[in-house]
Amino acid sequence: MRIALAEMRRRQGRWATIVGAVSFIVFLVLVLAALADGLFIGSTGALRTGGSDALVYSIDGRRSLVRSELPISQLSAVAAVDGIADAGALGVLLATAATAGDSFDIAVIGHLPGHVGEPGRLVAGRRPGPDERLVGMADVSLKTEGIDIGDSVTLTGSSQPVEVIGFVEDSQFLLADTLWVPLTTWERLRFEVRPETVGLGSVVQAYPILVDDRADVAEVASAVDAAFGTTETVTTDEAILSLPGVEQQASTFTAIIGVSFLVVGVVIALFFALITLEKRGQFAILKAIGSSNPLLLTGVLVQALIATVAGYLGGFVLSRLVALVLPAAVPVEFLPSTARSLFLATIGMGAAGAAFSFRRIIRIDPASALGGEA
Amino acid sequence: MFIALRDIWRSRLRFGLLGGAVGLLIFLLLFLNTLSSTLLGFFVGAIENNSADVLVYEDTARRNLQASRLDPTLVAKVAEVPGVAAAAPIGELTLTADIGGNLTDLSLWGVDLNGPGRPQPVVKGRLPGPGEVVVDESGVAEGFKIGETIALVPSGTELEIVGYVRDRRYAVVATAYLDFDHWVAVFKTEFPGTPFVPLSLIGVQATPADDAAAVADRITAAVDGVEGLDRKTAASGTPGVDSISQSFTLIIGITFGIVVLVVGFFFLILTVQKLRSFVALRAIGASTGYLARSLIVQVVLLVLLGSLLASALLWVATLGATPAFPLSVDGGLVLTVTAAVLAFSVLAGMLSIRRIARADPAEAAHGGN
Repeated sequence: MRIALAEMRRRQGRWATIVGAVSFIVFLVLVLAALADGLFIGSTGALRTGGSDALVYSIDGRRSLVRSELPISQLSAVAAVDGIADAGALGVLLATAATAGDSFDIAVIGHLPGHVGEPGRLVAGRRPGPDERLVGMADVSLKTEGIDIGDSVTLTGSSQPVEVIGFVEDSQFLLADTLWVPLTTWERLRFEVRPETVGLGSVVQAYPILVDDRADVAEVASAVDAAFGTTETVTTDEAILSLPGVEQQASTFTAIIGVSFLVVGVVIALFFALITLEKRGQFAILKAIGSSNPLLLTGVLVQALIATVAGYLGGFVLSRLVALVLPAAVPVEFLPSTARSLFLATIGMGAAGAAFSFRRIIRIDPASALGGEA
Repeated sequence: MFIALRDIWRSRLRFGLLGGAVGLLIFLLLFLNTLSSTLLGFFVGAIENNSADVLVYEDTARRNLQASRLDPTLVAKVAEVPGVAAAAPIGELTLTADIGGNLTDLSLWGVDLNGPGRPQPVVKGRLPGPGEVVVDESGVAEGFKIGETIALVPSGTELEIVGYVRDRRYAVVATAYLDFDHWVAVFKTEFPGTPFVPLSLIGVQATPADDAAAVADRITAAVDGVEGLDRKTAASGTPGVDSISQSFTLIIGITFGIVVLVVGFFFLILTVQKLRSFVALRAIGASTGYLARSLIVQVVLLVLLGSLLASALLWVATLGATPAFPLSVDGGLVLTVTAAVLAFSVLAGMLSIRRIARADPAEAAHGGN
């Protein structure tokens, strides 16, 4: 063990090479993971933080929060289904808006204040009351558009400004900034901005539902669909994965990150294969003077772990530095939980890579220290 | 050359591992490039490959086709702008469609079949008549085949598929084109009681003497409430495209850097390990140029080996691809990526060559390093 550490100290240049290579690959993995997390969080917050167990859509809406259409008059009947503790309503209007400055994209989400489905994380200001008109909560991301509490947001094509009375976080929808307004306000805005929807009447896009503590979500969902015949009720997790692109993005990034980890393993294995070849003579001498195989293998493993930990730290620092200069269009989110998982995976791949050389070390004949072939 | 090849043969394990690492990284580069271009094509192919030279949006739509809502009377005003040979309305609706009993998403475009924005060329079948559509051929996997009938949900409006266009998908969903007047009828059925039917875009054909970008600027300046854009600008300005392309550029850039660094680093280690042998070779008359060429041959062979492995892996990945998300081995892309990796890897190998050049052949006499 002491020999392993002493060797690293005395040949810092050599070890810096492997640490550098691992650092860059870890950096790639961390940026990829941050991108995957950023895309997921930015796309799904509106559904994820609403506190619902399931969402009810119209069958023909195909789990699309934009195209599903349910008559608001049906809400009380849904809430009355056995096992449902609370039912809310969600409507989405994708639009552009402007404050005093430039215009920007926005998703205006209608909800029932005080019911399931409203954004869960109020960070400033207050929530609108059920009977308030033309007030709303903005996602904190709208602060980058210069919006603050007390400001008004006017949708393109609308004459009705909405006053921002609070900020919520993690409530974005498909990477769009969101403005959460009471359902009545949402309908007024929708009819004005999309006059063609007037003929559809009072409709919402989904009913988020909360089931009783002792009820089973799948059974309640089936009961809702059986009762109405025109609905498709899915768990909130299923609804999130049904958002356009979310599942595909997750599987693609997982595959890319997996391949990158494989590269970490191969690079570590390659490095230790080279080092082992170079040190065959020294290993033979150590064996000849009584060092056991486990002792030598432990030394190699310790070196691999130190190199991967140092490589991880290098990659971690590099990724945070790059995050500071990334353009706003790149949606990255560095999560501590992801960093922890990737740390463990990097260590695992480092150890696996080092283990690749174990067989070669075990096969070294101590007698070769006397001058024979190692 | 002989020494380089013998060295590789005698150190198969280490070169095999390095080739494996380089191969995996080149595979990542190829895969990411393919994924990026496929995704962008599916996202904005209908805009980027539109037959109109210029696309006109509502000025407050932020280049978002689905947020753009134009008054139909603007078509005539746009047509009067100097440099405009023809102008035609374009409408887009994203709907649920029933195809062969399966519900799926459909982007339905209403276009003037003889004007700018028409689906052209039709690669199979013919232009649609009343009650007919042509579809982007990537929709075949979702059941959108010639001869099939699409039923729009919930209206039940039926549209028969009579032809295919290529690279004309929009918003990653199956995309169909029909005559504008029939699209208006579909719109009115889907939104009963609508006070008017807004256009999504106005397609413009520029006169042969005029540049599309210049005509687009002229339209923006001459007609209130609109923004004219040439196809490429419109495609790259579509919300989300920037995020996708910048994210992929970043990942591809990092991966490329890692390939070059891994190759450079490991050849440097190998060089340091073999420095005594290099010194001995120089002492018995081998020139630095000869040794440098040997090292470059090894780098080239290694990158080519990695590229072959990467192409094989990409081919395996294409087995899992579907027509709805086509992944293919693009020979041009493989060559470009290989050439770029090769060039930069040889540059990275210069570190090793510099090390060899600096070694003193006289050291061979006293065994120093």
